[in-house]
Amino acid sequence: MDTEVILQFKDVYFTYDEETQGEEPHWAVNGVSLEIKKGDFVAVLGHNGSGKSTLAKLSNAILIPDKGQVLVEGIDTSDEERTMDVRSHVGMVFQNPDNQIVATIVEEDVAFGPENLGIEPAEIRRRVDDALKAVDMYDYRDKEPHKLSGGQKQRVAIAGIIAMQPDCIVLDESTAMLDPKGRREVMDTIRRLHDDLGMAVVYITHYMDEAALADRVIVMEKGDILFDGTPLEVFQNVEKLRSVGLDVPQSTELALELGLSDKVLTPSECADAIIRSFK
Amino acid sequence: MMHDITIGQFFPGNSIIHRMDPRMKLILTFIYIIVIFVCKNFWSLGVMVLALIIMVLLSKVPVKVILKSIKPIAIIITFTAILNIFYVSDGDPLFDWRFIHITTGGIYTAIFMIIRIIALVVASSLLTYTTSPTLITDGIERLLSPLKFMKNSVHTIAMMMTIALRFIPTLVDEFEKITNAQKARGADLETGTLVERAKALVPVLVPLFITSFRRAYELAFAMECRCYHGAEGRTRMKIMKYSKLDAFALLFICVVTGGVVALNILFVHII
Repeated sequence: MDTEVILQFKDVYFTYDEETQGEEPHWAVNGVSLEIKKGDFVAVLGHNGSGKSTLAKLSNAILIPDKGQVLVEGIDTSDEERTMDVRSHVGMVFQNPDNQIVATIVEEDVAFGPENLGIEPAEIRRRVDDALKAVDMYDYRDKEPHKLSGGQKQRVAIAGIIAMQPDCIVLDESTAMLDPKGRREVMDTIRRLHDDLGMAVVYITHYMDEAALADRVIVMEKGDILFDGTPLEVFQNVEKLRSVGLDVPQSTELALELGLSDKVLTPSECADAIIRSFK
Repeated sequence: MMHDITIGQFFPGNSIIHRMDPRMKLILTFIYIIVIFVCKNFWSLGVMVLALIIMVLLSKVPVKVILKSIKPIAIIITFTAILNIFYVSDGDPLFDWRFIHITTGGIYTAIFMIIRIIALVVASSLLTYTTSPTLITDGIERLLSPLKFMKNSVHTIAMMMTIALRFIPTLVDEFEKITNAQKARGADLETGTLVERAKALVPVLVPLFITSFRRAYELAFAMECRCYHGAEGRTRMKIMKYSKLDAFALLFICVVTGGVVALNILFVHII
């Protein structure tokens, strides 16, 4: 596996406080260092106000760190001249699908990003078609966005990002406003983008079951990283996670309560583990 | 219901009028509107009406839909007609009673005006029926783009129009949601005098405004994330190209214009 680093946080501090008058400000992100490598699938967990959304916004120069550095493909995000470069490497999908679709036709919206990058019309056409096929929305290319369901709109928004061909896609609670069906559609799409296109995914969520699908889980608390590891490792710390207002996936919890030695993340793994324990 | 009011009332189709370049459609509609005002008698106006009928038939937009576009201006038409009947005093007198004098000239002018206004409205709605709002804004942007010194503002205005069009359905939904929420809290929006009802709308409009600002803020973030930085260095996916169809259309309008001018010279002016 290629270990090229796409996104690097170096001891990053950020605060929303304007003036502190000599006092220590409230750090929304409090000295975070982390690396996202090519092909990573990282879930970032944390309750409201833990700094996870701030972390996302720091990753593509929407916010600039007050202290420390954020490097995207080696480019410092505080370098204003290269903001566009940074954003073409790290794409971001937000929570509300309605508020990120610009155009009145699906394919024109997907074309918006590449158009801004000044790409040739024929190449844009190709990218738009590819992106819409990748999120399974190609049949809807000439529809109006407001006639789509929430999950479909969010997939259009994702297509709009992948048409820019970034190395990393950051999803900031992109399923929070969707119904279970829409959430599943979006999760499947993201998983497929990661597996098929090898795109690095940073997935910010507060749904444990979604986080369990990632390869690596980062738990944020008070602007700092509390845990960083595989889902199995992280979800062993039931008590600690509870104390910061988070749950573990129900299957994991059940297995732990039952005292099963197996490492369990999904319901089917849980079922297998229980069956094995009876043998 | 409210969802039916989409600005421009685009009527999707694949007729030759639909397939024309939006820029050409904009230009020709503009020319048509000017020529309508050049007409001086019923002969030349007749040519314009005939041309319009041909275009409507070619567009395959149902006549019923076309007629619907005239409905909102019925009052204006009636008003113009009445004014002309009473105020134009050429020709033979038909009716004379105290201060009311109706003449043949007045009647002719009134009829002339009615036809002129209807042709005007039908021609411009034909444009919006056969061209999607996005294409119209795109067309305007590209038509005005040679004006280098104001290129950025042209782009900005076109972008604003696109976003406004995109958010109309969203805001209509939101309006209904808030209305229902306020009704559920006992707000009375349907009874009372006009002033009372207008006042009752305030608790609906205030939340609508606040959410619109939030939407605008988030949309701006999302656009920045997609590298939006104005017109500079921006390309477009869809290339607009004039085809033979557009050349024919231009020729058609030129012939019609020539006909109108000739008929104006040949026959007596009515106005």
